Amino acid sequence: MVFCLVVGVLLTADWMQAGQAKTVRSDTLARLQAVSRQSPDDAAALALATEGDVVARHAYFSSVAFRNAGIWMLIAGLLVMVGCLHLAAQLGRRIDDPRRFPAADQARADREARRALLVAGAGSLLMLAVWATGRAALQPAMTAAVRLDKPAAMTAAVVMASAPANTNRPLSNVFQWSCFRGPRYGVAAYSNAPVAWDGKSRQGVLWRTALPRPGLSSPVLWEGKVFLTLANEEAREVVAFDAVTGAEIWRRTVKDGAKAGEVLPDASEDTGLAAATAACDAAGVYALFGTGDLASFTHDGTLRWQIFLGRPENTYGHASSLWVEDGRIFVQYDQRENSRVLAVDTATGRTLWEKKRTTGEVWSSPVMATAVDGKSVLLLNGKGALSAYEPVSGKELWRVAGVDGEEISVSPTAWNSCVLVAQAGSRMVCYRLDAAPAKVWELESDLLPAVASPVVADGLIFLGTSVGEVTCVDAADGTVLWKHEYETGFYASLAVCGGRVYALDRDGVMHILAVERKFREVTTCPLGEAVDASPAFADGRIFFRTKDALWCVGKK
Amino acid sequence: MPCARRIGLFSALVLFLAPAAQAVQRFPQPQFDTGHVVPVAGHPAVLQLVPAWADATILATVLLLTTWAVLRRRSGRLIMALALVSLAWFGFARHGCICPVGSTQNISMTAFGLGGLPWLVGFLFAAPLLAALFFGRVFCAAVCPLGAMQEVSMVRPLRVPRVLDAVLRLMPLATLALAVLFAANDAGFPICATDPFVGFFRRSAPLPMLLSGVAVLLLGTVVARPYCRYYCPYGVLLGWCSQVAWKHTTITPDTCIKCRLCERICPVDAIQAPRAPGVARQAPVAQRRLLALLLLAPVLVAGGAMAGRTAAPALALVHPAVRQQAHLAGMAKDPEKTYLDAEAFRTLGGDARQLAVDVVAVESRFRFGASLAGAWLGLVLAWRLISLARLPTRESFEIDHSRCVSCGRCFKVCPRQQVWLKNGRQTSTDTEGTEKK
Repeated sequence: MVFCLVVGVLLTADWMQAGQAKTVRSDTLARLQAVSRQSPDDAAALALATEGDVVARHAYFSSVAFRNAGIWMLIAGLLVMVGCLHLAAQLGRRIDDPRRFPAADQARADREARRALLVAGAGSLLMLAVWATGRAALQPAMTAAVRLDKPAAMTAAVVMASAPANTNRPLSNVFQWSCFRGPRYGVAAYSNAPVAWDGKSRQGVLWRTALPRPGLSSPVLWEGKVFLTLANEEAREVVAFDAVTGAEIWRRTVKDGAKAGEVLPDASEDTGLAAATAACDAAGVYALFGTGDLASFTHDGTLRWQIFLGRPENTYGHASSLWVEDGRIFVQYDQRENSRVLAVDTATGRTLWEKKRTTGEVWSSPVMATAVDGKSVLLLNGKGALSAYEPVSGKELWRVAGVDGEEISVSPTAWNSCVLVAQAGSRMVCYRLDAAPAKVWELESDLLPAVASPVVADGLIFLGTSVGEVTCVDAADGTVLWKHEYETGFYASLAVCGGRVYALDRDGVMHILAVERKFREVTTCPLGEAVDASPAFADGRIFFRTKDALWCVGKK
Repeated sequence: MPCARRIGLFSALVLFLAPAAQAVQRFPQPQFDTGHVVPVAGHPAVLQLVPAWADATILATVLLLTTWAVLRRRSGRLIMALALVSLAWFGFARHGCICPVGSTQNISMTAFGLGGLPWLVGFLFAAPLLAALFFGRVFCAAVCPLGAMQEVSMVRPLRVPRVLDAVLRLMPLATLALAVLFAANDAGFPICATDPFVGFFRRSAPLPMLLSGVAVLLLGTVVARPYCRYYCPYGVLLGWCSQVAWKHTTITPDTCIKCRLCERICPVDAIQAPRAPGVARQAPVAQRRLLALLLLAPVLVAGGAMAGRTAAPALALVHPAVRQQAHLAGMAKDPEKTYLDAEAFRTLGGDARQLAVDVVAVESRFRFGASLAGAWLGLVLAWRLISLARLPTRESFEIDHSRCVSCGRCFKVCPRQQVWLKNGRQTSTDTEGTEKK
């Protein structure tokens, strides 16, 4: 036994010293070989590399031989030891006397075995549950309670604990994609968005549901339902789809609220009558159409109320999306004339407040952000001005110089009590959300977006232009860190999920990039259909609205 | 010496030496200016020249001999001698591979369309199972090199407490489920990777594997066949076949005198004591218990399936593609870390997108497979609980066919066996008949 122990210790020592001898790998040899390759005419270097190779091989085979010998000795030692133990057992063996055998209680043994099996089974399940919970705590996406097919049932505490820290917004709907770009301006609360799909081969595609009417609005999500607005001259509709199967759950038509005979707005093809993305909350879904009709439905499709905001007078058609928070719907109804911002009661459709604006027609969408003092402010982009409103009273808190141009389409993006606005042909400017906002920096560049809104994550701003450039800017000082040119431009707003930027070009190719200070493309995933709407992110899934269909990619 | 015999001997000598005579350089030696000495051409070891059909023949022969030793001769010493032969041949000479235990994985791969099945592997898998269907686990008795290794090291086996034994016996089921899951998903051969003795058989192994072998051997001195009883997945299949064996061995060749010596000597706890019929008042309780366990069965199956699905992401990491993606992610996160597979992937310009697509498919398959495996484990657990809740009656000592490895220890201690041997292998009935005549 002592012999076996000594051999075992020696083998262990050799293994710990030389490591697992799998092949000839030596850093010194690699360096010598590299030197030799760099100067092929140097005979001395070649000789040194050759000698190093011989030494390395000798060391390797010596080690193998040493271990083989050691294992042989160990086997022999073990055999001798077992033989001796057998002999000792043989010599010490006594004949058993059956009369002295204790009586066995088989019923009791069975009972105890049964209990042990039950405990073992339950214990295994419990351990697995604890382990799974531990994983889920590290990875919010794994939390069963927020899975698409098991909605709701998540307390505020759970949300607070599991939501990413890079936000200062209220977290009640952070795990839903409740509005255009989601409640966190394009940053998904999950981290497990898919990174592989192919629309053509349907690899990674969970479902595709054809849409009966056109529209450019983006999908929004609430507790297992995907809401979408569709419209043409015949009808304006709100549709709810099952997020798991893609099946249409309900479809409701929103009647034209204008007086009979009033013609529909002349919206361009690039905008249409369903360009504004719907919004939703726990009570229902809210949809605004290019006709000026704002309607609300319950999650089951029952009409709650409908109001008419008046025909928008807009060059291309109304496209500004809705923002819903704390029982109010905020509508940026900027037109050639009679521009206004209004807050509507989500429960009744009653206008809570309405403020006139003088910033001209704008296609940008409102966002709510948290100021330095912790209060919420409603931020609206406009021609030449970025305005902030007090969400309860509608009082304009301040107005600062924003971006200029005839087509203001990019929405403001907020993070850490800062906000930035950008527009191609103008500039990108960042303000700190103080009572009197101070400009942090500004950037004049030809790399600014015309349509797609930027996204901010880990101190980096990502921009996608209409001609195909993706740019990364340092959020601290506005320095351009890198840019990369793609062949196709971006209309869909960029999003971030799990440390990756999702940039969807107009051909439907998703360019997945790393959230890093240097350009690194993780992968690209083609959908095979043109896309202008922004994708919506859920637990392990992404939803796209193409021209003709609603898609879901991800894991089953 | 007759001429014919001389010719025969000469022919045999020529045939034996012919391969050696042909072992010459068939092509001109290349000329090296570097002073490299061309090694002398050697011959492969004789053992490497043994064809596959010889292995199959040896396996079949040893199986037949073991069956004969167990059923006809009833000789523990002969069984041990055959075990040593198997250990020497299948273990040390053939390096413990391919073995029927590991072939379970090959069968799984083939069943799921991941490759063909060499006839030898199919034979190695099927022959012991067929033998078990007819005669019980004779393969375990003296043919399996892993079993033989433990049989040799067994010095003074102690009885494992029933409670612990019942729990530990779930392990082989889990191992079998995992082996099939991994093999069916092209994720490797875990049975082979956890073989404790292959390092001894090949005289080469990573130290952890070697130490695990030593540990199992040392444990085996006091716990009979720990690998066979608490790990071997093939043993599960053999046990199932053995339960319906056509002609299993018996403890005694004659009428049992209930001396309990066999029960005491059995190292694998495979002998069941007589059990009186259940008391009438116990029947309602037993029925209620049985009903409760029957109702529990679907819960266990569902729980098992859920557990399997939960564990699927971790299990999928065993797959090379998933592991490679994890390594790539690890290297991207921390450039200081290096992984050989990830390095190779980057150096060779691997398609990250394709890898991601593969990983998605693998994870999906693992989720389904692990759920299925979990459900199956839940079902088996339920079945075991129900089995333990029954109140079987036995008039004398009986062998639990699924557990018995036909080692023959009970033969040796049985007093009736000694009488049987003394009477020229005739039972008391036979003897009485002879005397009457």
